[in-house]
Amino acid sequence: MKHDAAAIRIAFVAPTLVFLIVIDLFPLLYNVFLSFTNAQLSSAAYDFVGTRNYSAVLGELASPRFQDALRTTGAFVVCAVAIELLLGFVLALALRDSFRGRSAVLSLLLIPMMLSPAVMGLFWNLILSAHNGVLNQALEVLGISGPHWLTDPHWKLPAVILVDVWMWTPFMMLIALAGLNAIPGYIYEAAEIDRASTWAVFRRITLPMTAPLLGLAVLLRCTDALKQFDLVMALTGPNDASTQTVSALLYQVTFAGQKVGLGGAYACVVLVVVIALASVFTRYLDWLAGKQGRSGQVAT
Amino acid sequence: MSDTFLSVRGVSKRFGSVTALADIELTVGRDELLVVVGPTRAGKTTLLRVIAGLERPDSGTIEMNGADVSDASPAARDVALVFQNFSLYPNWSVRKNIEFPLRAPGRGLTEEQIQGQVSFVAGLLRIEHLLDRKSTRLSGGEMQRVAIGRAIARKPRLFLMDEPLTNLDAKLREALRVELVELRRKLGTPMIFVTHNQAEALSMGDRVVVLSEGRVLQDATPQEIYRKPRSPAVARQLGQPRINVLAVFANDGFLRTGSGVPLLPLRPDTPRQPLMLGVRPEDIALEGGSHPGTVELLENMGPAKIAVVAWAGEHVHVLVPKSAPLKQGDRVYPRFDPDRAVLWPVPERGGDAPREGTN
Repeated sequence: MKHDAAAIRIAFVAPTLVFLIVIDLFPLLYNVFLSFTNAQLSSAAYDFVGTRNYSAVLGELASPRFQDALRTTGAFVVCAVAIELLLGFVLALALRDSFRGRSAVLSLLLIPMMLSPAVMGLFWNLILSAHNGVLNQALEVLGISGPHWLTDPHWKLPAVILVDVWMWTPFMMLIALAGLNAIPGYIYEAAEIDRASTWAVFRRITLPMTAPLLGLAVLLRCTDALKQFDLVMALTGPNDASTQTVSALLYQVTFAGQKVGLGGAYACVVLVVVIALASVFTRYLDWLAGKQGRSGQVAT
Repeated sequence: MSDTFLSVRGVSKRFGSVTALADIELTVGRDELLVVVGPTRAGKTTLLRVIAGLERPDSGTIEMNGADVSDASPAARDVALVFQNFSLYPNWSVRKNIEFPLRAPGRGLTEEQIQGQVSFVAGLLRIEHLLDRKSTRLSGGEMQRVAIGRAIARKPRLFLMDEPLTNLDAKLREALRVELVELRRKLGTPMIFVTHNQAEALSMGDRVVVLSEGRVLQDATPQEIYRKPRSPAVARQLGQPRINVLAVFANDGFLRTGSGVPLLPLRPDTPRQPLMLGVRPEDIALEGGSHPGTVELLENMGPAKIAVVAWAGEHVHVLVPKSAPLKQGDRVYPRFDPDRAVLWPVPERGGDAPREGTN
């Protein structure tokens, strides 16, 4: 009897397990394996090189080009996520109450999020084109001479940020809206009875009660923005000094430089960083769940 | 200055096809506790929300202190509303909850005055030990006290209480009932207290308004409502155990039950048409007599017993002392107290038809 139950359990778990091994575990281990070799894309033959790749990576970490990539990534994450948070929250506040055509506006606002980043990058490439791009033509109508978005080194990163903001503000808005809708109406009525000012209601009720969810959205966006690659690839290419993020650098080393072994070592280092971030993330989620669980008792 | 603080005049409110309030007229005095009692969905909460300004009536006016406030915001009306679900600010400490209305713009209180007021209220409601606890970590009774504390701390012009004791256990409910009446008397602020609990209505109110399906059925002192309910619906709403209501008709010198058994001698002023007769269980005596009924059930109520007597085609509930030597199957004649029985014309169909109420 007992053995049968165990067999059934294994039978149920097995497909998922096999899937995970093939898709996740094998590539991971294979990558670790490759990181100790001098494998190249162009040839099947390789030799073991011990930890030479890793010492190269560690050396690279101190190199100006990696430091630049790190700075670029940092600037990108901070600017893009901050603007998305602010814009998304303001949009959510504006769209919170129902009005005629609200759902239509909402659907339109969500479109950018639904599109493929690579395709969007290509489209924006056209929109941002200095001379015949739609954006600069529109600016011209307003009497503003638009910058050379994708060729002027000062404007390349802002251009990438602009497109990212355009893509991901709806995501922030959606989460902020969910947070706002979760605030029970009776709290606002109590505040109205208590003669609270609009500002006090916003600062002491609306903001603190949406903050946990906004925090979640910021974490999600940060982890995503940290590995920014597709927009950079589509807008300026992976090897542009002013927009080369860490992911783009990684790509450049692995594929353009064709050094699979070195790229593998890079990927392993990045993996460690990602795992660290993921643990921060899960801790935050646990904390959030605990908080929600407690306040759940208040409802009635 | 008149003695009236609040006048509700001809207020109606509909939600879609549902009439919540229909032409409500009522007043509250400057130092009066008005209890509004009625079954679920009678419109009690809507009435409070309209008075507070959270809901706009479809028609009618609301006057406070002689001024029309129908278009005023809740803040301008300066009333306190204690919600049925307490509506404390979650994750704030008790102190912060009570302070919040005191920090409203235009109050201009110093920090010292605010803290003084908080301690005063905390002392009054005996919640000093809870001040630094989060409102989410309170028991139901504690939350209730904090909600009341938040309401009284700012000295509003009028208290509105929406079934504030309903969610509490029986013991706490009775204790707080007394406390609340005392507290209001001390503060001298008018209060409207909404409840579906008839005991609260009769024990707390200076005056009681019986509400049903958005209409005022009766507006009188508790004694009058209990003794002279204007309709069977009012009579059924108040009093525990519930009043006996029988269909009767006048014939041959007596008011008789549907089956012709004589109940009470006719008086000169008794109308001759079919009537409804109401008599409370404590106003019936059980004796031997010419038309006995059978004791079907004895229900122990603690200090007294309820005897359910099958008699003349009806089930009559009679309150008898605990010591009464009655047992199931006894043959008894229920004699109604002629001075305590109430007569009503037979209500029109649908209008005031006998219906089940709560409590």
